Amino acid sequence: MDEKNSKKYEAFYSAEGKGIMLWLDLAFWVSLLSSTLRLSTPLTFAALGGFFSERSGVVNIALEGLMLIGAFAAAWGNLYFQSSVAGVLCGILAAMLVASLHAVACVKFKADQIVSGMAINIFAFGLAPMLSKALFGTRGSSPQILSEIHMQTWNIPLLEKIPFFGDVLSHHIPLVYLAIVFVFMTHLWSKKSALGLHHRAVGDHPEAADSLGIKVNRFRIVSVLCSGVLCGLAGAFLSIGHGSGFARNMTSGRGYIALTAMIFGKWKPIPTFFACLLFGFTDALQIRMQGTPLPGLGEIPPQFVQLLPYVVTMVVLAGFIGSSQAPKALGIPYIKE
Amino acid sequence: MNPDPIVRLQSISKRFGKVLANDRIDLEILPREIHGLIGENGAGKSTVMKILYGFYQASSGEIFINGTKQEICSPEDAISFGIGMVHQHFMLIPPMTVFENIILGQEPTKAGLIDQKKAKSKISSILEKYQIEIDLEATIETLSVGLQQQVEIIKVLYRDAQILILDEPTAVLTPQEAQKLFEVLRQLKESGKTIILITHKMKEILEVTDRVTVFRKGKKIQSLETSQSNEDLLANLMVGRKISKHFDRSVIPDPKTVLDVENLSYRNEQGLEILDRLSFRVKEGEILGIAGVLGNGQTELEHILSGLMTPTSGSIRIYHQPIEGKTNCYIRSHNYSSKLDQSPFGHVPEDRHRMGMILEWSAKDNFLLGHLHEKKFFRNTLINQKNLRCHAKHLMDKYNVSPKQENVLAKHFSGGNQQKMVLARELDGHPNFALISQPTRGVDIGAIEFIHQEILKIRKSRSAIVLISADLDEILTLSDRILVLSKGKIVGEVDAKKADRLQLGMMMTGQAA
Amino acid sequence: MKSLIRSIIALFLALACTGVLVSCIGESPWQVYKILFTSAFGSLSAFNYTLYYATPLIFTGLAVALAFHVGLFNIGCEGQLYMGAFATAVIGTYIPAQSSFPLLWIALMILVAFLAGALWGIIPGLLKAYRGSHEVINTIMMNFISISLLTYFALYHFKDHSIQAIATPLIPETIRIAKLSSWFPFEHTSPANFAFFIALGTAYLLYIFLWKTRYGFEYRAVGKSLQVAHSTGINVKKVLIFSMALSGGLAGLVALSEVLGHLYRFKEGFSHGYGFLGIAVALLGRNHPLGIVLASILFGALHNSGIALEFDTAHISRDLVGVIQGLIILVTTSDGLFELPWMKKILKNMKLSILQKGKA
Repeated sequence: MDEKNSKKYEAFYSAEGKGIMLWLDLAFWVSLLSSTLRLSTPLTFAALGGFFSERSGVVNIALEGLMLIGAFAAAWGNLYFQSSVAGVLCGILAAMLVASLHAVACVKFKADQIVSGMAINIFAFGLAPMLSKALFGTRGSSPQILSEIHMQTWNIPLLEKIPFFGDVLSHHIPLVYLAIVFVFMTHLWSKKSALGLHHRAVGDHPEAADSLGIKVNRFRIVSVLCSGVLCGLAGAFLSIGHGSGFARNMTSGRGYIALTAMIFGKWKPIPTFFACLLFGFTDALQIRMQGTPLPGLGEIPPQFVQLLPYVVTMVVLAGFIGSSQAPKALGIPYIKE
Repeated sequence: MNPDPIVRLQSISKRFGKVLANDRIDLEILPREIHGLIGENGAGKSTVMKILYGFYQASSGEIFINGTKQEICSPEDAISFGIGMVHQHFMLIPPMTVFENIILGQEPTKAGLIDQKKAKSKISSILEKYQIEIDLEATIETLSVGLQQQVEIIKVLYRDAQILILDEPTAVLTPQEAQKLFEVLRQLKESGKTIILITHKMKEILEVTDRVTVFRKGKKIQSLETSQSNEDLLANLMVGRKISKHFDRSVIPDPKTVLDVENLSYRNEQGLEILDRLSFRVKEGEILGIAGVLGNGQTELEHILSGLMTPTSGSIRIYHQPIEGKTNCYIRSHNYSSKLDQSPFGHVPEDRHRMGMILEWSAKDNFLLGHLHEKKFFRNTLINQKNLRCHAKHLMDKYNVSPKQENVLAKHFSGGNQQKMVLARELDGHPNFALISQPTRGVDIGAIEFIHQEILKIRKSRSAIVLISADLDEILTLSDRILVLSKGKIVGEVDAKKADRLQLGMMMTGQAA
Repeated sequence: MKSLIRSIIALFLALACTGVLVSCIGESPWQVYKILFTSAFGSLSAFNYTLYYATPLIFTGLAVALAFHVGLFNIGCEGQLYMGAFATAVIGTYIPAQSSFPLLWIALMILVAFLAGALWGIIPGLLKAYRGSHEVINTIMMNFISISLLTYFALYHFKDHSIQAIATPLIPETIRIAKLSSWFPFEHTSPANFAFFIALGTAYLLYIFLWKTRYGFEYRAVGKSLQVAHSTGINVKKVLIFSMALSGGLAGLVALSEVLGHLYRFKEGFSHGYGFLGIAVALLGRNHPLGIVLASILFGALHNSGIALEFDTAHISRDLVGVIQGLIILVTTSDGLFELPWMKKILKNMKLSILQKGKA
């Protein structure tokens, strides 16, 4: 959040007893929407990762663990090389390495894809704090990344001039914009390019793809690696973009929520992006609702508010009769007879 | 003399685990001919063509194309040698468009994106040449099976194939659609293509091919000119013995109505009318055949009659007791008549692997499925293993299942023996109402005969039988009465004795007879 | 037999990978292996702790395995065991401190633990059966929800204010399960209790249920093929719903070992990820009750030694255990790994040597 907005927000927030008024204030909405965009960014990256993997036919519930590894490696890279770009690259590389385990297990060794994903998660949730202990001395968190080497926000020249929209859309770190660019690029790639066509074919009907000379298993491995890259970005966003250091359990279920967003988005990039925005919004809302009395309900305990994204996820899943849109060969290893 | 062969296979063998699917096959295909490969299920004709197409690698043997030896390691290689294949199970991706399916794997690109213009102009020139009309932007799911097959053929032509392999292309077509396909094949031959046609129907071989090769049990038996062969000769070569076609068809005295279906309709989730006001009755000891092109509502009818799906409207009664909307569990365990020697309901499902049996389970456990309400198999809730084993042994004996070992996993039995087990489990109790769907799909000829005899046996013991089959010949030999289903409607009812193939075929396509 | 060998190979492969990782960090892998072993089985008290950690894993392992046999994936054991523990701890405080029928009260508490877990399990079961939503994501969400909710209740409504931690008051003596040390020569302070034997009994009962009864037959049929089960007259919805309830109930039984057997109260964060480790245990034990008991003891041992690891080395934390566990699952589930030619050779040799020993 940029300084101007946050001051405005805090000034208003401190005015006691005016909780109801808060909901009518423009600055409140600017800050809410701006943080919606920010909080949906890691979800968008991870959900796109899920898209690449699942469209090619490999279930990926390892998003959570991959993100955590990405977050850790990014924090380490940022501190070690004193550069946030190096941090992001480290995050990508590490998450891709761990994703390769999932890829090899699922594609080459025909492992159960959900079990393998779970294993990657348990592995990652052990590995990240273990390396943290080895490299930083504590298993809980990394040292803080100071603002000199922290990723800087961008001001978009013309956009920032527009009232309201400028405040919402400008002054974010580059990763936020990168995520949006990726959404549209992925959409274009999937719809219009030859490789995108192959990608869909491999997930829907691997036998057909194979009969036309497409290397199914190779394609799937690369797709899972792509999801590693994107989860690395999501993790980097958490530890060195949004936050300023790595903390144990910092993903707190975002990988699973990203997966739901992708299911909600019917395995398509643009609807997935909107689902991510929805979840980002509930998350932003829950942060603001803590300690803020709601009209008619009074103050809601923070533990209840924190449940919001999880409950929304379940309601969304139950209300939306899914699976008809899922890639037809999702979860089934491709074995030539 | 004969021109040089365009494809020559020399001593091709293929082994899957312990099974020898192809045993030293030698085969010559001449240019510009339609060459038929005929044999029973599992005779190895599809396998050898999949080797030629690079889908499988031969365990031993050599392939010559235009006289030079070639290694074909993948479909990609085969395509580059001008070989194309139309598979029995279409290799089309249902949610994608016709256009996307045709170009998949061979997309012309410009700056990474697909060059739509170039691809479309090439496709339209093919469409023009063979006078095929098709909407390129339609998704495959919305097309009829006949059109889907044309997409498959265009797909092969788009890849500039000179040699086209078609695997059982008429299995899903009506006689009329099949005629149209043969027209296209002749046209392709005229324009210089070579065609290999895999089939198990002798009529097709005699009608359209120039030469024919007969396969039996993984071996090539003989290649001959079609003009010098006839149906009897081919049948003898295929099976190695004469097939008896004698069926006992006694008259059942004083039959009562068992199944009474009235105004049955079903609309699916998308609101499409899948079944439209069906009404029919089946009496004791009667076989009602349901004919129709696949995908005209047969599967849904089967699921509704067996309680797996709920109809939108209409009534179904067994001996006057309503069963519509009841669960499968209820239909199987309810007592419809006072006759104690008959079980209530037996169901041989369309797809035995997906619906009929658990392949990873032993034969014995599979016999218990569907009989969970029967007290003799349980002591309190514990399974009575002794009774179950006895029962399994008895059924395997009676239905001639081999190997006769009740502890062997179901997946280790052949298709015919698996089907016999499903039949034994479902029909041994002489059910009041037997619902039998595609009983001989993927079953070898010996077992087909046996299965047909068993169906007639339960007919004799006064079961009412609904037989759904895509095989017109099967419907014609077994049924007493035939209903023709087209687009969810009953378009005709025929006495089986007076029915003929062409008339039925006309009805199946929805044209009035 | 074959699956036992495979599990052992998985264990050794995972340990080998871990060794490489450990040496990268700059510690001696042999040292680590030694600590792992001695702190798990090296002394009576170490063994006691191993049994203590194994007990909840048996329950969650059985829970996961039961769901697995029905073709469902219960990742919600963590939330379910929290529910079981909280319900027993809260209801337990109302039990009279003196009673002449303590066993009756304990039986009641077992029921409470089971029902509370079942309640949390049946929700994803219902959603699966009626809405078709995938149980994996739902159970994960239910974990987050139950942990948040219960933390709230423990903090604001049932907190024992005499201690700092977020915990409920102690339960009375009546319903406490005896320590193993009252019968066996363990130290009095050691935590393992008779819930271990209840866990063994539960494993046996589950074996009978799954393989010998009609219901188990139905459950396994649904797990092998939903469509076959449906078309042969099994009420699939009922099976889906009740199996999830049963699975949740089994996970809820973790309360026996933790609340009734050792802590005597509900405490925030009492579970060391037992719910997730249950997946690993079930998988390594090949979903067979006997295998699960053995795998639980192994994982209990690993967990136990993780803490020692942190004290005895400079750079390694207890999280190493998570790494080992993750790798074990990954290797065990990779069926194709055991089809590789060199692996087949090893399997064959091992089988031969075992057979020879059997003859000699």
